Amino acid sequence: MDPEEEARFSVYVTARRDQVRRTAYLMCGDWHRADDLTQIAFVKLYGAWSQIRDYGALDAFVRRCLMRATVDESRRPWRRERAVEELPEVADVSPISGDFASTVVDREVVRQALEQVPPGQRAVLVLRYYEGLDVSATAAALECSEGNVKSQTARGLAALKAAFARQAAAPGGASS
Amino acid sequence: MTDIDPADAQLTRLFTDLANDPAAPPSTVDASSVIRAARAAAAEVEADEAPDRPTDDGAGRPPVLAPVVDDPPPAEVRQFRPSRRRRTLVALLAAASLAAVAALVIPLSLSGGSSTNTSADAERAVAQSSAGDLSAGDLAAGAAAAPPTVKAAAPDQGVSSAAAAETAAAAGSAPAADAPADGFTAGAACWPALSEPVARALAAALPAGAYGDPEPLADDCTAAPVGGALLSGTIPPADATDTAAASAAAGFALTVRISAADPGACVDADPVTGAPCVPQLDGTYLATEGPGAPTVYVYGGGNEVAIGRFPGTGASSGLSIDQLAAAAQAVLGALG
Repeated sequence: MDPEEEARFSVYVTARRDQVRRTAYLMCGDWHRADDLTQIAFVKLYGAWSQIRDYGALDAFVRRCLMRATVDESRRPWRRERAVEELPEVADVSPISGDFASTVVDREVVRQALEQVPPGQRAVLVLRYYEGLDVSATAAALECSEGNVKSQTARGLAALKAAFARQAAAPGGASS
Repeated sequence: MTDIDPADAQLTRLFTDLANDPAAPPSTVDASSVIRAARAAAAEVEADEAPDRPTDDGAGRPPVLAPVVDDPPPAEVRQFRPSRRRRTLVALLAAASLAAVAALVIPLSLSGGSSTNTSADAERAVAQSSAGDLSAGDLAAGAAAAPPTVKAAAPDQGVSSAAAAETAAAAGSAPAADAPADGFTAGAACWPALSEPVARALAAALPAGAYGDPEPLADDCTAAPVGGALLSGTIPPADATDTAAASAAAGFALTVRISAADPGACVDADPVTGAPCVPQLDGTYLATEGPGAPTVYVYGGGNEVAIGRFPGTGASSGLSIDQLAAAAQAVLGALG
């Protein structure tokens, strides 16, 4: 890659890094893993930069790389999620008053609930409700059919609501 | 967002709020770290896949060298490295293949090298085997030089079949299939050694002191050998007065071959010498390979006993036809 292309690549990475990192965080629930996934996606983009003809499709390409990396990472033995009987305690933020405390509680509740959603359904939910993609764009990012996206969306929403309900019902659980 | 149910629109707010966590640590990813990692990965892939690549691409442009990477390679590079793993697998497969080939070739080459041994080597191996100090490798070599082929066991020749089976097992052959007939001891030679009664009867029928102890007979196997021996002429004891006979005896050699055969089978041709025999009035059969080289055949009990000179040499047996016939009858009688 010549210096000019590298400069363009740097501009793109700088502009899109935070958004990609946030999406990765929603997918994995850990900021450090999100950094790893973000780097993997951008490294793939660097390798394919010279072959890209439509720079308007960069986001879609990076999103697809990110989804692949997330799935690959989640399949590694040391990254597999474990089902537990008892959910970890929700952070006690009672000393904090006002909207900030409720915001923090909401954030933790959402993170824990999202963790309980299977990875495939979680990816669909993130792409549709955070990235704002429609069914066809989500299907393209996940390299699956639109019907699959629709069914995974329905199941993911059900799983997420069930997770919220379990947390609300748990002793000391959030009341959001 | 195009087709989101308004009832689920709050999810967007929740997700956005979670992603915009102000407590999130600062990102360690920036454009320069991505470029460094990408270059390092590309350089590693190039080094793995094209180690002999020239330093110039032919167009006058210098190759892109991987910069010094301050940070460790990214997780993907650390964890995947498919080409290196593939190369390691190929190396392991190659090593395993070499080991397998060596395991096959080395024993074959050892046995194949022994196949060029002379009959004297095989005889020596058998002699050492009977002395009990022969290694398994030598036994296998001797067996390869002269594979044993024996007839089915004759029930009336009882001696040491257990010892024969042990010797056959030591030689690497299947004892049940390759065990010699009862009364004979299989060795590395193709002719099983004479049993003790047969050897004793043979020694009694021969002129005293004219021959040494029976030695294994390795060459010229027939289809159904039962037993065989080679007896070399010896110089008579020191008190012998006939010096002419003593000097002549030094060149004598006598072979005894016992095979499973029908009576008169030698009429067609001796399987070893190729000379046809002629029936005699006394029931024996006589064949000659030339002047002074008679071989006498007697038959009984499904066996053929042939006694004569050693076909592989020009040495005479040193015995007359009557002496040979007497010795053959003695051996046949010892067989029962």
